Amino acid sequence: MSVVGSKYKRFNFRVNADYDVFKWLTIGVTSSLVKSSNLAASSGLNTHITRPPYGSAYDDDGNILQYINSSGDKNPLYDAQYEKEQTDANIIRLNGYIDIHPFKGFSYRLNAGYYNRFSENGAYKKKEFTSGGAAGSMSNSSAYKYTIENIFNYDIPFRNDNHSLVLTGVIGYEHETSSSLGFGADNVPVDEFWWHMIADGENTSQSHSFGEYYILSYLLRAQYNFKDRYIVNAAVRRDGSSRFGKNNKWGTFPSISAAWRISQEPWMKKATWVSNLKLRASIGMVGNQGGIGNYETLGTVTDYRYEFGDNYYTGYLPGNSLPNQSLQWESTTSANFGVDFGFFKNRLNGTIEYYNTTTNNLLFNREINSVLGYTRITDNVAKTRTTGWDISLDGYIINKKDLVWNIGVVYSVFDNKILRLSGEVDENGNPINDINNRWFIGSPINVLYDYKTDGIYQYEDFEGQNPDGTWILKNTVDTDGDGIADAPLQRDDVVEPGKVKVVDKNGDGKINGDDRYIIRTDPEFTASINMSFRYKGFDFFMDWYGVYGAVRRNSYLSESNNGGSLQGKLNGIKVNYWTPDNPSNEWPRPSFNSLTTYQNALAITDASYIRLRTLAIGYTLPKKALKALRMQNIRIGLTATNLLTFTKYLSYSPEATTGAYPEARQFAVSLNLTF
Amino acid sequence: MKNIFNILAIAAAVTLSAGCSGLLDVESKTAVTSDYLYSTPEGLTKAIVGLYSKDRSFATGDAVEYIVMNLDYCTDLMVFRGGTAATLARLDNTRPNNTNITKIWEQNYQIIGKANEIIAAAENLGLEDPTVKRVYGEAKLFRARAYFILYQRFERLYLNLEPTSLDNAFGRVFRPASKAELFEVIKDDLDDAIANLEWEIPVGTSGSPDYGRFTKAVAKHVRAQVAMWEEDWTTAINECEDIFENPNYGMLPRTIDVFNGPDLRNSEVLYAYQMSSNIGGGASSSDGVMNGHRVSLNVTPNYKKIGGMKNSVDEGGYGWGRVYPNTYLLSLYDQEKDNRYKELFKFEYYYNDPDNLPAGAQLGDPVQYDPANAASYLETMHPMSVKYADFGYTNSDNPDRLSSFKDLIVYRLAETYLMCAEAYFHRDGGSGMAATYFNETYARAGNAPKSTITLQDLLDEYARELHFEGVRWPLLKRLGLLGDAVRAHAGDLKSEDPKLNADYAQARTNFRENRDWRWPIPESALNLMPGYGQNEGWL
Repeated sequence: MSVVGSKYKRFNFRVNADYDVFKWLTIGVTSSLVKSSNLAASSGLNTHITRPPYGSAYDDDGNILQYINSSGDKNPLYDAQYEKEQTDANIIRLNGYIDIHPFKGFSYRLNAGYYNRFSENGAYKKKEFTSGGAAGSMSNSSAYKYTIENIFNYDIPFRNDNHSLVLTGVIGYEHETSSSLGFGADNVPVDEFWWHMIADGENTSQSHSFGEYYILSYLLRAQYNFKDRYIVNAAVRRDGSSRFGKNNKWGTFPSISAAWRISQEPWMKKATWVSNLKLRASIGMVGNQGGIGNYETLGTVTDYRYEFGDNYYTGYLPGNSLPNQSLQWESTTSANFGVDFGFFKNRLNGTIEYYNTTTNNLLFNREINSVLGYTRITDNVAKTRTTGWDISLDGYIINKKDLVWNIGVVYSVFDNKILRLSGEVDENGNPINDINNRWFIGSPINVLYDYKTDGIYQYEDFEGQNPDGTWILKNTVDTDGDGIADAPLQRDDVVEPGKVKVVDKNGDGKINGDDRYIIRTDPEFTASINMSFRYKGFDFFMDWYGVYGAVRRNSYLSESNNGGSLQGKLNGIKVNYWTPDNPSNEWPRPSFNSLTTYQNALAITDASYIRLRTLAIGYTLPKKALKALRMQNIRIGLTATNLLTFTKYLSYSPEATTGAYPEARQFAVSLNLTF
Repeated sequence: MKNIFNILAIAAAVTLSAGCSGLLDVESKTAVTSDYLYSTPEGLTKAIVGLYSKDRSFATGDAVEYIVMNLDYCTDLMVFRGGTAATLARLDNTRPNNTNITKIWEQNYQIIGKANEIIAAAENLGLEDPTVKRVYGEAKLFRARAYFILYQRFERLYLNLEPTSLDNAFGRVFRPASKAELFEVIKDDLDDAIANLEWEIPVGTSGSPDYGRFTKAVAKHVRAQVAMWEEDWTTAINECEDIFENPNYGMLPRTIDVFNGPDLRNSEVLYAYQMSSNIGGGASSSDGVMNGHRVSLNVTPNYKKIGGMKNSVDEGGYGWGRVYPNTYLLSLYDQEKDNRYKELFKFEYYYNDPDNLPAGAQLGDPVQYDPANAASYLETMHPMSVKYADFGYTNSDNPDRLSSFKDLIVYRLAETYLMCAEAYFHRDGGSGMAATYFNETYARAGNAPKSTITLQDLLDEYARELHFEGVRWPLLKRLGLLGDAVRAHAGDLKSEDPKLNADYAQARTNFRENRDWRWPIPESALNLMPGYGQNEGWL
């Protein structure tokens, strides 16, 4: 399948040069230029896949129709002819260095980097475009980033070769500016040249933005090594960022790590089956400023425009985010413990690693009650913790000249938890959760907060109907505690046969926001297994990847725009829905008018999957044949990626977000020649 | 080589300056800060423009919130097909997480929050400066209107009159205010607005009036509305009559004259959202294509689905066919005498597409109802209200445009007259001034003037004159008639309009007497104020 109008071109150019000017001086440059051109598809993937099946894109003569049916469903092929959007970008990277090593052990290196991204976007809709055209827009944007690093290194010359100590000092500087300029116009007199004629139209929008930030950093590090057996690193860095509040621009982040290569110990010499055994541990802090914008602490305002009569005005008001001058560095403290091992001449090797990462002063957008005139504030008081295990094993089951069989396994499991949010407590002293952001203390960071469904209402669930046609639910709620149900379950929406049943979590006899559940979405574990096999000239490789226990809301089962609402308006996924003749307990009664209430909750489904990520086969010609051809090596290969996916998740991909292109299935044929 | 040395030179220079951490004190170059807005009279004039724009944002784009509140959802005058905020018309799936209800709540509190800041800043600067004085009056009116609108729809409100800052944003205990407390604030604000606003529309940058700005008349009109809710008939009468006496305002010869054309700039209009395709005209630009509001699309049938018809400015431009007058509203007119029956509604649609004409039909013939197509009647050829339709006013260049740039009405003098007539009716009875003011709209439409009126006469006249202008729902609620009116007339049954294929009157059976007189407090707001409590009747 291909989507009309989507195309991507890229050109890369790279030059690297190193030059030893003197014995004590090396200079070098790496530079690259990437030029790309991206023609965007006119309508998203969803428009294509949700077109109702009873329409037709072409008339009897094979011409493209504007609408595929009389309901006015747009034909994406039609508008694609009259719309174009293109982004051209250049990325230039220049990195130069000077390395001075005047005497033994000491070096000074200066890294200077220059990065520039320039892009130009043009978009245009021709006159024929459905619902309005002869209009287009252009925008330019550019970003410049300068980085400078001064690195001082001193490898202290010990007389005793068993010791090694390297001291490092770094002074770093980073400055980025970005700006953009945009312009839109309609009533463009000539359509033919797309957006290139928009200067002749009437101005409909104009925009300019500018932003910059600075980061300064200092680092001191000592690396000590004894006989390659004991390795200790200690470092401290201090970072300053222009984004934070006046008194909080700087943060200090220490770290320390140690490793013990047991296999290098003299007393291990006898254990020849151990080829490598290393224990390592580290604990360190890093700072993060990514969560906030350049001017977050300043309280900038938003522009609002108004034309009173024929008079134009630009107004300003503070935005919805309450400015917070006291923002500071978010810090993440990680503790890692690991074992690297290799046995039997590394025929079996692997790594076991445990990590525990605590983030303090998490930068997050916290909700404020909208009755205060603001809806959020970027705050700095939350705390989260992530712990996990990563285990990888790799082994040669057979390792012979003509026959090699290798299997590798990677297994990851992690868990995260919110430890602290705003720190505010309610009347009973319990910490307050941020429900609108779905953040709950003690729960994972990524959760859904929704109702649990309990099948579909059937005729048997009702006493009957009122004279006006409304339905009367049977009594299922015991209000006076005598064990006899004496009242029906109360709901704000209208309940009829075929509607979704919802669990009354707190048992108060009514369905409201308090009946929602916290539902973890992160997988319980991920794992992959790969296997390679070689017999004489033939080789074979495959790599399987699995995700277990992930949960997602499938919008193809719940959103009207994605055909998921059982309204019969767009093409959707076939489900076993309720009708009077098919009293299904899985999916509700279709409703032309609107999405059935609580169908959203039904669409939360398991998104576990197993995928064959890579499959490769190849054949390498035997030496004899090569000699005749005067070649060093010839290999013919076939590689397939994303060949198979097994999942119960009802979509073209259990991973891709709705409307995004699925992971491409690729086949590559290769011929490697070495002369 | 030379390049490398340049980089070196820069590097050396920067490394030296890196020691100076003043580098990290960066100011924004493209956005001013709120300090600037609130510390000078000029800054305040910018801030108040922002409030007008925020207020208008209910009515831009899909304009769903404007449509819900102004096009008589859940009243006895409207029949609804589908689409726009359907559950608020049908009352079938409304829950406290309803996005439109949430937006109306949040947006009004946004206006209140920003108005609090402007009012505090103006008091700081002193009201002696005429610019500050006017902005102060405007901000007070915005705050009063927002609380008043919220009160009518939600009742259970949190009262907040202080600017929000880091110092007071947290640790609050949220408790609903009493009606008396709320009305005290609203009346104070309105009295301040009346005292500080001028009668004249301010003259703008180009020397022409700034249509769409608040005047003393707007403040008095809202003050009268508030008095009606308190049954303070004398205050209502006084405020209304002040407006009548002002020469800037007067009734036009016919109701339709108010709505003809793209701009609502005439002596009958008190306050209207200004819309145009210019920057600042409330439109949004996407890839250069300008999009206005979609109120016109909601009221205009989707007649282009009929073979032999295509979008045309004579028929009202692009239509979705969602919100229409019902048979009850149309039955209230004297079809012979009352010119509003023919002028405020369009009943016929005419073949205009020579390519797809059905057999026997001629261009210009009216489309005939065909029982075989009953299922599409409501969507494609139901009678429509013309108050919002765009007959080439802003779409003559593109009848296919999926939006309109026609101004949208908020308050007009006809309502002031009917309100005044009603206040006299309650205070002094149905003859005399009650009838005199009643006849301002009733007789203007061509009916024989009445010398005595009843409450039913008033209700019917409100409907005939001011349907789809946001008057009906608050009126029925204020008079305690909402439940009966909805149960009796909301939507249309097939038995009332035989051209329909089915009943379109869900609100009649879904209206819950103990609940639907008010909207639920939005779930997202309740999530942030534990213990505040949901509105009566809502779970």
